[in-house]
Formats: sequence, structure tokens, C-alpha cells
Amino acid sequence: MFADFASTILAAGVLTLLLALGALVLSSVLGLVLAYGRLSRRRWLVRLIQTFNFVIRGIPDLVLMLLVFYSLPAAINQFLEWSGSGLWVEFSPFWAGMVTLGVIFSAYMSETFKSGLQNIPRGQIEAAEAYGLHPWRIFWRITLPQLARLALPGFTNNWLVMVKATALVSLLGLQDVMFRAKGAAEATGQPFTYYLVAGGFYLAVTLASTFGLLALARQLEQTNHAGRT
Amino acid sequence: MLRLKLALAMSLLAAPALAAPLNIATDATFPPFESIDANGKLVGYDIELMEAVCKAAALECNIANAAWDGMIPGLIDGKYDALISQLTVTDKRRRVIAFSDIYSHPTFRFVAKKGAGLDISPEGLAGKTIAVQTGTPMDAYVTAHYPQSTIKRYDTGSAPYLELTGGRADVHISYQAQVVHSFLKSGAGKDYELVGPELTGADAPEFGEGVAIAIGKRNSELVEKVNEGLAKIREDGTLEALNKKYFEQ
Repeated sequence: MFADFASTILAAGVLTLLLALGALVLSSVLGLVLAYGRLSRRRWLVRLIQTFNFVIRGIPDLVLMLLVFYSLPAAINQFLEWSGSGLWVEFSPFWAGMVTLGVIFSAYMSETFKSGLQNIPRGQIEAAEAYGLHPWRIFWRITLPQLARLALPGFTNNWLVMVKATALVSLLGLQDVMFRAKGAAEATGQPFTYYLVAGGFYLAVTLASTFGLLALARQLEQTNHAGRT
Repeated sequence: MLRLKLALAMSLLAAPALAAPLNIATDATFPPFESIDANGKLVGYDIELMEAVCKAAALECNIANAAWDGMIPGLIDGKYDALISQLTVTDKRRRVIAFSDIYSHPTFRFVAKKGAGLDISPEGLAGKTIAVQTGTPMDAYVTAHYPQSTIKRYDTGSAPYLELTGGRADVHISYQAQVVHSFLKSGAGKDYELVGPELTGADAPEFGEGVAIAIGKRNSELVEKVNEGLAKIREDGTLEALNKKYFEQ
């Protein structure tokens, strides 16, 4: 019985990982855009992003999650009903969870990327511009390789926190590892056993990604040195 | 399964469709009424009852495991068509949701250590600690009637039993069938017993009028259909067989 319940819980790991990876992609892309925005010369844009980061980082993830999934559709639907359009929106728990996590962590990612970007000497970019390189090419060939190396420690940290934060989606009724663990715990009356299974899963993901990212860091270090000689 | 979810997710905007199977939500964390089996499948009294009702009323139903916190808001918003989760009928709930006919009148019981010699009354339990699952009729009952006791509230159905066996609570109150199934029949509960009177909705309004299927307030057509189904399974003996299967000790 234990093996069956445990495999039911671990089978939900696919969903947890998909959610985490989706949120990672979203938060990285959005975080990079926000980081560039923060470094722009437009004062209003900087202020806007600062406010966004402040608000997002100042509200618990759980509160944001519940607001987006339960309150936002209700508010939109009230508006739609009032306007008499006959439409009605519904957020799927998977997308609501992924987008919310992605947006929350984009604030953290933008801070990580911003300090990474600031550590790339401006002279390199100016030199590239002087050679007439296209901004995209400057980004791909000069900025990104260095940013990857500089931002990796912070990026790793954000990823580890985010994997664990995915457990919050169980409150939206999404059948992730945590949701299944609770179901098994209540069905059997053995909460410790099955929460430990869930704990083991998150730990294994953390362990695997720590090693993976360490290997990546070593690789980036080497290619960067190779590039310099 | 996942692909299906993704596909559903793609259509964020959807118009209400009556032809699709009904979305029925349950919080499968309350055996023997609703829980998951080792393969993650929904099982229990409420699940079997709902399936029988759907069959009898010729409704296409999809019963899904959901999180309790979102169930009633989800019903009001139309995310779910109905809820079955040992929902007690109360006036407060009637204001926001509709109910089918009542299908069960549950019995509530206190449970304590064998030979504890507790006097189950507000005076007898004065100064004692009562463990209870938060937000349940039992919670409302002890909160209203046992003001002199310390009430410890827990998020899950299983936690109060850990408190009881850990010696951090003197007594716990829940659905009798749940106490028997989840605790007394398990190894952990062998030194414990049901104590005090059998309580029902007739003893205190907090226990509600009975248990029913919750349906969206605007969906009176579905209320009628579900009631038809309930009447049918009452007549043909399905309900009686279910009661026997789950509640006879």
C-alpha cells in the first residue's frame, strides 16, 4: 500500500516540475526585460519597475496566488456580467499557478540580472557599438555569456526557492506532489509518512539541480577563460 | 490527463456549455466519505452516492478532487456545477448556494482514551482541551457550547488524532463514521473509544439540518434533476445498501 501511495504522489512530480520549469522560463524572460528597464534612462520606467518589484516582493506568495486564482476571475466576471457581454472567464489552476509564480519570481530575477548587467564593463558594449554590431548581436555574443556567469549564483538561488514555492498551487486544487501527499496522508491517517515522501521529492529536485547548475557554472567559467586567451 | 488540462487551459475564455459533463468537486481528505485510494482514484460514501445519483438521473458527471478553500467560491463563480463533500445544510450557506434534498443525517460523537471517565458536558469538559477540525460543524458546535474548554483547531481531519494520541488534547469530536473508520479501527486508536451521547442536527443547530449536495444558486434545473436521482436511489435500495456498507459497525 505504501509503495502505491508513494508512486501516486511521485507521479505528480511531473506536474510539479512542468510548473516549475514553465515559471522559470517566464520569470527569466520577464526578469531580463525588467532588469533592462531598471537600467534605462527613462526615469518613469525605473520608478514603475521599482514599484512593481517592491509590491510583488512585499506580498506573500500565498496571498498573491489566492488573489489571482480566486479573486481576480470573480472580479472580472462581475465586471463582465455588469457590462452584459455574456462572457465569463475561468483560470485553469495550472496556468494561474505558473503565471503567478513566474511573475512573482520575475521580480527576484530582475534584481539578480540587474546586478549582473551592472557588472559587465560598459566599455565592452561601447566598443561593440563602435564596430557597428546590431544590438541583438551585442546581447547574444557579449552580454548574455557574461551575464550567465555573473547571474548564475543568484539564479540558482531563485530556482531553488521557486521549486519549493510550487507547493502553493496545491491550494488551487492542482494535483501536484503536495496535493497528492495531503490526500494520501488523510486517506491513511499517516501524515508523517507521506509528507516525508513529498519532502524527499523536493529535496531530490534541489539536489539534482544544485549539481546540474554547479556543473554549468564550471563550464561557463572555462569557456569564458578560453575566450579570453 | 495533463495534456487534457493544458488543452483546457488554452481556452481561457469559454462560454457556459450545458452539454459538457457536470463538474462536481469534492475535497477528498475525509475518509470514509471521500478520499483517494492508493492509485489516486476517488473513493468513499459520497463518491459512490454521487455516481449513483448521476446514473439514476441520466447526468454525465465528472467528479474531481479539489481544494476545500476554493470549493464554495468555485461553485458561486460557476467553476463547479455541484459539490459533494459531506456539506451540512445551514441557513448561512443557503444564502449563497442551493442544496439538493438531504441524503444523510450524520451522527457526531466525542472520542477519548478508554477509561478516561470524562463527563461529556460543558461543565464536565471545563478546562479540558478539545481538538477539532477547523471550519466544520463540530468546530461550530464546541465553539458555541463549550466556552469553558480550550478548543484547538486543526486544518486537517487527521491532525486531531495525532493530538489525542500525543496527549495534547483530551477529547476530539467528529463524524462518528470518520472516528470509527480513520481512528478506532487503526492501530493508533485501539486504546480509544466513543464517549458521550450520539449527537445529530436535532441536538444543536450547529450540526445543520443534514448533509446534501450543493448546487449553484441559479441552477434550479440541476437541483431538480439531482433530487430526482436521489429519490430514485432511495426507492431502489441503492442508498440503503450504501448506508449499510459504510455505517454499519
